[in-house]
Amino acid sequence: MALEMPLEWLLGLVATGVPLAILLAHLHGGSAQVTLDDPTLDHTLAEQLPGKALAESLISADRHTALLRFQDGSLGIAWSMERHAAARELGPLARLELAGDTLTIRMQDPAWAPRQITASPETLAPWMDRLRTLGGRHAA
Amino acid sequence: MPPELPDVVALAVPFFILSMALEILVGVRTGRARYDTRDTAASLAMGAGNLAIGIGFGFISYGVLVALYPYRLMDWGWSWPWFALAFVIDDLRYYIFHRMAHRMRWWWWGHVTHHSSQHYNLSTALRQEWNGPFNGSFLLRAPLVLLFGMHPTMLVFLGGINLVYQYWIHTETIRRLPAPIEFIFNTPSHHRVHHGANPRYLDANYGGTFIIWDRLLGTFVAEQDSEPVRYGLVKNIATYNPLRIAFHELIALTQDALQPGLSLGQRLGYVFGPPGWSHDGSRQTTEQIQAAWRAREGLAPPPERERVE
Repeated sequence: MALEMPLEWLLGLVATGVPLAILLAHLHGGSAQVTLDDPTLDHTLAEQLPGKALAESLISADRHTALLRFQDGSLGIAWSMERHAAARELGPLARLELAGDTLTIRMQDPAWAPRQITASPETLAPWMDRLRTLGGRHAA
Repeated sequence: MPPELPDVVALAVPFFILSMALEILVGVRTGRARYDTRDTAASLAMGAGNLAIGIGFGFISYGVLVALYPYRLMDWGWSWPWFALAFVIDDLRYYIFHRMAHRMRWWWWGHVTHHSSQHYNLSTALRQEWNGPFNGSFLLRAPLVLLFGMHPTMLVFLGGINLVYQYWIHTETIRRLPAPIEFIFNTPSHHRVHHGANPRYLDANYGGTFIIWDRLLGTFVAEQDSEPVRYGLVKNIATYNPLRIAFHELIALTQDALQPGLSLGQRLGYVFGPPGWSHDGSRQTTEQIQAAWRAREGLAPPPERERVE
């Protein structure tokens, strides 16, 4: 008779073990989130987009998202992923929505969830113009 | 009749949970392991989904191999020396699969799941694909059944041991093991390199249990203390949604292959070419990323990949 794990035990272990591990991670500081600033952006770009020189950036009021303009004219985005930051060049957009001081960007790439950037309308306006060049549906 | 063999992955679940809890507790004290809550939740959701899909649909791949078994050319033994030899041969099969999973987008769209965390801890080991029974990778086991007469039950058992072995090497808490072990076996150090997005570390160390395959076949790269591994993808994802994690690359692959105006060869290139291949050269493959890196660093092309320490 082979050693077996009854299915009920397996389900029970998964059902208790998964929340336990998540809770432990949370209790040990796992829910902390990095905030974006210029040094963090420089570090992230050097790692993830080497060769791209930053010309200008707009960091959202919550400091979790940043729009980037590179010296070659291309646009990018960076955002915090808990204790990491991720950055990428912006490709074709699915949708741009500007509502008051909040700009919502939805990308065609399903690996990137929609992001919001909050800033004054005057600050957002030139970025909105640049982002429109990337296509997608626009709502303002 | 094959003997009854245990489901080693299911039996290892308590070990997975306890060791993860231990790593979280130790990691905080030593600063050697970091767990982010949502990243951990996403990894464990992918692991639970993989387990469920294996239970629900594993019969497909298993059934095909069982159907092939009567046509075997020879009979493989069931004693432990035969198991040991089969494990080594199956580990070579795993190396081939794993290398193809990184070099062919059809298999990368599933395997990318495992590399999509920017963390490297025991929960990352459980961040597994959801398409295992459906992507055809089980066909690489067919030669082992037909040529050697290894029974599918044995192959499932050995695959489980290989998977459990690979679990514990997903850690930063262990730096280096004694040299003979580092020479023969896949270790935390070797596998950290495999999860690296640094150009130096891309597409290296595909071995499952044994690292000797990489040393023999020219894909071994040693971890450099001077260059910490940056985990994740060349183009990181930014989502914790398990469905997006599981299928984002399949969606991207489909979008690429179905875009208008391409030749059949170009469409096939998006499906069976390496990740980063594009018909207009607008993206970068590993070779192009490494060439650009070498140019930036002033390194002579191509870098000497270490084969034998």
